[in-house]
Amino acid sequence: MGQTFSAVSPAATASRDARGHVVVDRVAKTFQTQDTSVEAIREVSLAIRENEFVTLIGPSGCGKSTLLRIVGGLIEATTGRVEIRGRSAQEAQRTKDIGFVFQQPALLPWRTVSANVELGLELNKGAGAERLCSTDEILALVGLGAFAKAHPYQLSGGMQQRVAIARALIFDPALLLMDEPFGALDEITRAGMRYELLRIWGDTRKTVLFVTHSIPEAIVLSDRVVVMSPRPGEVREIIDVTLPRPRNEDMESAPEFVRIAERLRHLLRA
Amino acid sequence: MTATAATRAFQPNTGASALARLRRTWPAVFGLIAFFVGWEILIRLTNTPVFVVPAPSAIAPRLWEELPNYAYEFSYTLAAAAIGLVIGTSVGIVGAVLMANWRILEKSFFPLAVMLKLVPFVAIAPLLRIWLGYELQPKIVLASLITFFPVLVNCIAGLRSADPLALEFFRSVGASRWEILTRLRWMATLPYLYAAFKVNVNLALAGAIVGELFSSKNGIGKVINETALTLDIRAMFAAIMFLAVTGVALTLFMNWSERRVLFWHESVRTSGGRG
Repeated sequence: MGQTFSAVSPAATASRDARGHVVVDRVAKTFQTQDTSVEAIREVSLAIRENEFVTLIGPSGCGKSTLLRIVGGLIEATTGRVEIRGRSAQEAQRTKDIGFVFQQPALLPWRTVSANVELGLELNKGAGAERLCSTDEILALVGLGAFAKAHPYQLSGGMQQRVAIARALIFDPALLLMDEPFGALDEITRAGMRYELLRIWGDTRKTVLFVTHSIPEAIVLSDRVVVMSPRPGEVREIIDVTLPRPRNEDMESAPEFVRIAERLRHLLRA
Repeated sequence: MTATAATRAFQPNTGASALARLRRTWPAVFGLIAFFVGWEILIRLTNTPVFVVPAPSAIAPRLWEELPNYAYEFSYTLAAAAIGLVIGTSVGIVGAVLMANWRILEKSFFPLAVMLKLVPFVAIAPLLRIWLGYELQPKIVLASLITFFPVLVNCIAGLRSADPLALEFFRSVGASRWEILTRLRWMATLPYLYAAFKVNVNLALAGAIVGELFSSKNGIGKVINETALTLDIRAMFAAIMFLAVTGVALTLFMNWSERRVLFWHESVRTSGGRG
């Protein structure tokens, strides 16, 4: 499974915008209902470099999913702006530069696995997005090579989520947004999926913004962990994870890992 | 890699073996036989005259004799019901798409549709005879009017039933409204539409037959009317029996096709396609 995908050559990545692949500039969000308003995000600024893996962590209801949806253009920010490769989130949607993976697989049950993976290629054809690789290759990459013709109901939750990851990768988006993608899985499957995702990420090298409330998950996956405060969400601290890559399960007892976990626990408690 | 186990894991469910199917259906068959045997015995014990309630043994030969005639007449009934079903379904779907997209249309016209539905359809049959005469048209109109409402209601519910996260995925890749409608909402509507179809097949037949009872040159409803006028009770029972059998056949066909079309939907997977 050691192949890399020609779509991302190192030379091309080096020449791209150095200021930030993804820029979140003073984004705030207040939800208005008829008689109340809820301040979900106070003011968040963030710059993500190309090919970087950044995790948003914070207590439930701190607005991390909201922030992710604003970055993905599904919700409009009340104030502030988002830029993806120098363009707005809405433009990034139109050029199919956003690959979303949600907490639930949200596959189309009437489609086979391969047809589900190809969904993003079929939609919004005018965007002229190109395939990252063949459907067979991406299914092999997510470990579902034998299941191309299966239907989602024949797969386990973890397998369905792999299909959702393949679906978000196939049209080669500039940014992969993952909203607690392993949140609905049992702990054993979940722990395995972290390293699966790292392996997939190692082969595709996408820029990833990943939401979680699992401390080990954040450390294992990330280059940087953004810790958010309880509602209204603000950036409390950004922590660099200096653990070498490729990472493996043995590192979860390394002193560096334990130190960062302690620090995160402290920040999330305060 | 355990490829064989994996491929086996997603073999489509081709259904139970013949033996298992027999085991599942024999109580129903037994019940049916018991019903007719009981009927026969009761008629013989009580010496009920044939012009009040005929015994099955008296109906069966008559049905056999009349079968070609009934089949011919029924083709008119079926044609009226089928055309009415197609019209009612089409209008219902178009109405639902419009109402699901524009709330103002729903607010304006849904109450009207409810009112239309609340008029007992038998009540307008005589009017349709005056307007449209004795041919196929009044039956078609009746069948359309009856089948329209279940489609409208179910289709609106179905169009709104799409998985919100799947919808977000569509939006996140810049899918158009048309793409969302045809590739997501419409597919999510199919189970709802099928539920409406299953009710409507029998409703459309009922509508066509009522139309024929009031005004007809042809159709199984006309046959029943004639047998009533001549007090040919045996032929009447035979015609009713004919309708019962065709009704069962149509229902079985609908269930079978539902399992084929909606194999992916949990209603089919969990209930084995019953009901």
